[in-house]
Amino acid sequence: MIHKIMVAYDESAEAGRALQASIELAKTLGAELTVVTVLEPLPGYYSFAASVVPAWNWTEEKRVRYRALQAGARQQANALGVVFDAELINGDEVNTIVECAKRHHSDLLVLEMRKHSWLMAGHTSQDVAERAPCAVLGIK
Amino acid sequence: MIFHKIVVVYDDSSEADRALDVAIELTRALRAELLIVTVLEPLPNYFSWDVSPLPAKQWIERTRTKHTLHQTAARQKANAAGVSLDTELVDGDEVDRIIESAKKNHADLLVVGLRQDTLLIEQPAKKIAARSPCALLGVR
Repeated sequence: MIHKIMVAYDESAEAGRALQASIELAKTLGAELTVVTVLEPLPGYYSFAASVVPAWNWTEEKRVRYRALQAGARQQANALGVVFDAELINGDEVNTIVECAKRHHSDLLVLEMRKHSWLMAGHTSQDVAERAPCAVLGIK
Repeated sequence: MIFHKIVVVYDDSSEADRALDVAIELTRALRAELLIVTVLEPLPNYFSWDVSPLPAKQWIERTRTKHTLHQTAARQKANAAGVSLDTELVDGDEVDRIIESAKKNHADLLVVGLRQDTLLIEQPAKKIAARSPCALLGVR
């Protein structure tokens, strides 16, 4: 019933736990796994910079850091014999994750769930959970 | 494995049935234990207009029987899939009882059914998410 798992992954500790859980689930259920990381838009204060170099550096630095993060995740998965697709996408967190889950026809979306997060209006996990096309697993 | 004790919030809705299906599959794959919890709905207010407490008593009895039958059906479904399950039928506030039951049974995964016809997550599910002691799986 669950064939395609997608996990939203970033540098938080909760996301690390979500990744670990999805790797184990993918292994046990024999499902496909996709890891998606969203590059959030540039902070607004860069528009005050006199040159575009700091903004460019910021984006580049973040991209490199997330690539390294995904490489680490890949090692973690390979250790358990799981292979996954990784996606690094620019854009708004909620929309991107939901779109990505739709595009991949995922049956299960794994998210980190911070304490009280679903209660707070406008929090990412809750917004994603509300708009997800499939089952949602929140990991604490 | 990651999840050892799975608790499903169960009633006579189709959402709960879908949640049960996924939970059965997960339980089998993960070799976990499965528990279904049904919270009896509160007595409708209009019974307070009655001159005798008898209709209210009958109503409670009827509801209890209905849910017990449903749980039996769920057990048969699980057994057919080669999974055994425990049942709990409790009385009181929906969210409180579910959280209590998850804690008492040391659940590491709580499964709830989410409505398909609306993208909004119902209030009880949100409250459960906010207070859940463990991972939460919302099934659509």
